Amino acid sequence: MSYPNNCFRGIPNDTYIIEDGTAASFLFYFKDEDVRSDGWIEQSINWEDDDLSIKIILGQTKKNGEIQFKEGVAKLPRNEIDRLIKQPSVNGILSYERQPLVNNPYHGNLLLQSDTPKLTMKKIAAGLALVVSEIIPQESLSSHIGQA
Amino acid sequence: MTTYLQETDSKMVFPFKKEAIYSLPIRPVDATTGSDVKPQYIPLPRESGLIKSAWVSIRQSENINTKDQARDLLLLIQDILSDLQQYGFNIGYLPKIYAFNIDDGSILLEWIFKDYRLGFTVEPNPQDSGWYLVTTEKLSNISASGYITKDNFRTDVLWLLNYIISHT
Repeated sequence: MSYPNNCFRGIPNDTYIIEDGTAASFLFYFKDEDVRSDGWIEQSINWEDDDLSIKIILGQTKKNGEIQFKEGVAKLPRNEIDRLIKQPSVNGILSYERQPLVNNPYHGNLLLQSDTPKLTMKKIAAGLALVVSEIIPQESLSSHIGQA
Repeated sequence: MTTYLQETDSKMVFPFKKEAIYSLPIRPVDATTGSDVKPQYIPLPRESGLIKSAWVSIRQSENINTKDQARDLLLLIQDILSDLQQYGFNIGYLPKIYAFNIDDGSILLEWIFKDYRLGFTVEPNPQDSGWYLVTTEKLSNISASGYITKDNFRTDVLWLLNYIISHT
């Protein structure tokens, strides 16, 4: 399966952004409640296959109609995720996939083995936050719509 | 009080249990008063920019257990930094430590730099509390972690602070 160079992780609110504009490590914490029957824990992302991907994730809403990712999205280079996966202490417990949805063909997941110790999970999350290449704010949605 | 010596090239800091003996006086002389500076009377205050916001965040935690653990950890970091400052090590360029109250009941203390992050995660179960150091490819792809144990607490924190001092 082919993957694009980048993916996006939605940022729900400003508690996940450090004052200098970097992503907080806990933006990438994996939660036990998101575990699947195959033993992986999911963390939703959107793959940047084309310009429409970011419009879809920035325009995503909750059930009550509110914008889900009020602070925008964090852009993660896939080569950096691959570099993390190859680290000896991480290899085999971190992965990613595509998981297209009816209303979001770009949807995918970062995956973590469910038996990963909590400390290791938080170390991996910090490693992901460290390699975020860009924070794209919610306000940029209007400019992306303008470019359609 | 622990004495610290710093190696010139690597900038690594080593603790000395005995008071160091110098063949020549090295303490700065206060030209105005004509006396020596007494560094033991100039501690790193809790209000210093380095740790102030972390103190504020920790106080807002609702979990007493993790709040106490995080407070003890920040006190230790403050103590070590204060010692280093008093012995003339320049720590003024260090960015501030962040503290985050996480919805899983933990507190994350984290130093954030462009090419690495040093974090201490304080968990409701103290046996799960630990530290991590992650770096980019530029700084050799380090991915290290360990659990916080009372016996080696101070030594481990000093070792980790050494990494920050030698890479900042």
